[in-house]
Amino acid sequence: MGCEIEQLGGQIRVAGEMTIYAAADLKATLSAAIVAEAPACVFDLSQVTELDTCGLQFLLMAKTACAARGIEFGLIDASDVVRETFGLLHLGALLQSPTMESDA
Amino acid sequence: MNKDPALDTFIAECDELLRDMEAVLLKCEQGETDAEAINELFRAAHTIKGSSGLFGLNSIVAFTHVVESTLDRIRSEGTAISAALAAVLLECRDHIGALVEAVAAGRTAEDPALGKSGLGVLERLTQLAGFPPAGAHASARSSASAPLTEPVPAAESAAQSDQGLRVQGDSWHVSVRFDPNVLKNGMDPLSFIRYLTTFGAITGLTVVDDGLPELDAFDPEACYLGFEIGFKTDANKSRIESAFEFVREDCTLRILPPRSLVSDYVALIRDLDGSQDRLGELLVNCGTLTANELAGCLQLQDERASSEGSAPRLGELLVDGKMVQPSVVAAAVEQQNDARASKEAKTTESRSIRVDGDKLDRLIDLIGELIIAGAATGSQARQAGLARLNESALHLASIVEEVRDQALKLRIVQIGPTFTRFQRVVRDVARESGKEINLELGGTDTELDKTLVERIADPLTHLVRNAIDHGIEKPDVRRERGKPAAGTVRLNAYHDAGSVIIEVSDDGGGLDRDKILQKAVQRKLVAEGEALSDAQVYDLIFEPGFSTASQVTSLSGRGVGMDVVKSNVTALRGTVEVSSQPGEGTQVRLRLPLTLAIIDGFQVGIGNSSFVIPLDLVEECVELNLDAEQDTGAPAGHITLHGAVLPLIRLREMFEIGGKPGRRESVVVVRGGGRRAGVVVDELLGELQAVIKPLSRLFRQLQGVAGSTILGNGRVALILDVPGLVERGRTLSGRAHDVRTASRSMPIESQVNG
Repeated sequence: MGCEIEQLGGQIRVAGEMTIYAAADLKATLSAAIVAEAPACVFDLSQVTELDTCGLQFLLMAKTACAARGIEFGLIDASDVVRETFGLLHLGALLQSPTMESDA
Repeated sequence: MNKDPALDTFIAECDELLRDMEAVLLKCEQGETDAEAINELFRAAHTIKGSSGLFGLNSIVAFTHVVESTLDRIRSEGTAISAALAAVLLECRDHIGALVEAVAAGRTAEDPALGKSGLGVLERLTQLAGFPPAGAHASARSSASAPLTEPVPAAESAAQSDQGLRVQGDSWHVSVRFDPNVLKNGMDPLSFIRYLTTFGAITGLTVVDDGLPELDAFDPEACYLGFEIGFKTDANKSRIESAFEFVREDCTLRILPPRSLVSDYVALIRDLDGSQDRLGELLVNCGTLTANELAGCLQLQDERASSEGSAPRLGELLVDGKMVQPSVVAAAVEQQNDARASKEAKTTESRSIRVDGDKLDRLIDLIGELIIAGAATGSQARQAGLARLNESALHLASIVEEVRDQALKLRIVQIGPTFTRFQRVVRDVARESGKEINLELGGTDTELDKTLVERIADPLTHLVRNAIDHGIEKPDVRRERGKPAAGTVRLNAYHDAGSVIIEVSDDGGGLDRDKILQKAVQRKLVAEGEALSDAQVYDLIFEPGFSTASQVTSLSGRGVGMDVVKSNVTALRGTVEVSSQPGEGTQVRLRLPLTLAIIDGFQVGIGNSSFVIPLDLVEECVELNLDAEQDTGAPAGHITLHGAVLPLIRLREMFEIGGKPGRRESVVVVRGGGRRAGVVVDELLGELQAVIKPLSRLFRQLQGVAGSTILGNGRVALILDVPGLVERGRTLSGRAHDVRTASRSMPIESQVNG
């Protein structure tokens, strides 16, 4: 239950429910990562068990924010839940990453 | 049978546009044509087509489409509209009018006769315009001469007629925008989309995230997303709607059925805010474009971008590639431009709003009640003798008065548009009767009550037709008489002493006094040998049963339903006058009140009764001094005032009010129908605002009374019909069998009692 967020340099690992309850923490984490001037910002979504509109739109915003700052953005190891949601919204292209491909 | 209120708006809008079209076309027929005129016509046709599409009125869409494309081609070729073409376009306009009317009357089923006449009109149009028909009826294509234009490729024209108006594909289109609060309210938009998949398949979806702010401004708990969804299902619209039931309040939902009209998508794109940049995706998800078509466009865009250094707008490419209906892109581009044109345009747009007439009437009604209640409060305050209460009551009264004025102004419109409509009547009647007629308009900015404008249109039409039919001579006769071959009918309006005057005049032969008199004697309307003034003779044409159409023709005069005109005008508390000069023309003058709801009145008392005289008609009040009356040698029943003889109307006798006049009587000098009279009363009670309450049917025939009102003290006062009273003052004894008054040198009392 709940949501755990770990930030290691440019890698952010989200585990559990990526929902409105975690939204504020997610934003704080992203801000920290960006301030750290990491060359990349990669979300590890392998442990995400739930993704709602809030979590989704956070990821969309993060992508734009990174692009604006010239930071590489990636979503890797998407869990089934994440993949299902992105598929539903025809956003599957966002999930393409080396790790993903090797998974598939 | 619940009629869609939006449909009413549509009908009103169409009426307006059709009227604009008519005005432009009439000008074109006169040879005044320019590019702007064609643009205007095109825009009108385009808008009618688009709105009809929204309501699924396919017969209007199909017909208007042909008209629109013809206009479009005329426009693109820069050719002028000839008089002949304008005439056919007028027919087209009329046909659209007939179709709209059928919708307004609730006849949704297509009328075969109407459809057939429509085809006939279109055939004439396409032949005359020299264009191949736009696919609506292929038979005309062979006969269409095409020297002016290169023929439109058959494939394109077929596409326009068959599918051009409808988008291909069998998906519903669901467009939804969520309110920012939806997440905080515990709703998850994703769950609604997931729910959709339980009764259908999502064939296309775009997450509209244009609203997402930058990181710093991002509120993690607000929803910034919208979705454009292509959805394939067997379910109906309400089922799809029900999927969003829980967020009905928190989202903007638009649903288009499969194979919707292009115009529906156009409207959708127009409606969407903040998604301008996503035109491409939008069109894909609308089903207007396939993904392949879009991909082709994007590729083309990339290529051009690299060669020219700047990316052309996607919309242009789509049209270049003939991948979408220009109208769809036009709407999208329009929206982009609109967004740029910013708020300025928006504010002008919202400056005028359409209000249901009934609501306005209800408001006026309530304000009427407010005035009565205010008057009651005022008189209570006066009686209570409390200075401060009195003061605030007066203040209240002045505000109420202002509110009344403003509210009445809401109903006030200019008469111009009504007059302009007569261009058409004149043109048609002139054609029928083989006469040349010019219509002159004057005082088009004269303002009057909308109800009046509506109700005066019919009598005016009657008068104008009459003027042309019977007033103006045939061209050869006119030439013989040394007049220009083209006759002139003039419509004029102006304000005069609290009334609106509308004049219909012509430069025809004038009324034939002798023939009218002869006819009147025949019909026993006047006694033989009776001496009548010209005005009295001309007034005879308003007598009911004076003449019917056939007799009028033999009279070579007027009178077709003139009594109907008169009764219509009288019902509006107006009067009709006619004057005529033999060989020079005839003028009919309608005098109408400014408004029908409330009047400023002057209250007078006789015995215990109160009467109200419309204040605008009061000239002055003087004390009745019988010595002076006799001194100046005026006939009995008259006084001399400022050197002129003034007939007196004694209300006490007229209304048979008992009791003796007070020691000091007053005379209220009133003016009506261009004449003056003195109304003799016991008391002058001052000004008041009177809300007119119509008399019930039972009292409709009562003469000299225009209506009633309720006074502040709750009592009823009758409102005097001043023109009627003045009229009586001069009515001839031979024709008047009711109360006769002062125009004859006989004592009034003996007349009343006798």
